[in-house]
Amino acid sequence: MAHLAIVRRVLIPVVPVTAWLAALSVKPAIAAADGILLPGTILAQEPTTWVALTPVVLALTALGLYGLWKMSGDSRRMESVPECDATEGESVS
Amino acid sequence: MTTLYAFGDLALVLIASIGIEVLVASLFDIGDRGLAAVALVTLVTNPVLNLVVGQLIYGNYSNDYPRRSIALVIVAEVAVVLIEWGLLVWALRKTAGGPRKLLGLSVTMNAASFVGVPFIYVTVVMFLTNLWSLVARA
Repeated sequence: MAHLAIVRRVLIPVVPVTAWLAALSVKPAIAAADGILLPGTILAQEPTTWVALTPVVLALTALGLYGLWKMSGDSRRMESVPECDATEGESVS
Repeated sequence: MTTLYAFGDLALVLIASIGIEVLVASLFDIGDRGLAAVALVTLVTNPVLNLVVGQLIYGNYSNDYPRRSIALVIVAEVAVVLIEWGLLVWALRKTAGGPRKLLGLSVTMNAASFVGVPFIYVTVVMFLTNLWSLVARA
């Protein structure tokens, strides 16, 4: 978990600054691109695109839900294991 | 060719969203399982969101386009926050914190990706467009 602590220490100042810079930059960048480069723009260009993408999107959704369902089972098992007060090598009496 | 671009569009937005949301989630001390759950939750909601928003907003231009699109994006984002919160609570139960903490996580990471993803998207697409024009000119 030490690496996560380092990531947190680095990210706490970086995230708000980056978000602020991003908020400043997005509008001019979109304007420079003549308003065509927004996420989803290409998806809407042709009905065939929508038809071709729908099975892929459904497959990704199913994959994600399957992973979450497995994780939910693991979480239930973790919660049902009674917590032990003894440290390693000691017996609970 | 448009379909190929659309797959790239979807993949780029999905990868950027997962990256930003996992980075933000790492600030919440939810452990490696929690980070994996965040990635999976984004995998569930993000492609559907992009497909639906892409069709509803950019696929139907009309006179009230700006006002209607802002309202639709806000409604879609609120729905995504609530759905992701529900999925996180369902998947993690109380192994990574209570429901209130997970609601805070869902709001924060979606706000970050709402701001960050268009920035990454525009930057990458503009970079690729410029690179392509340079290659084509050479």
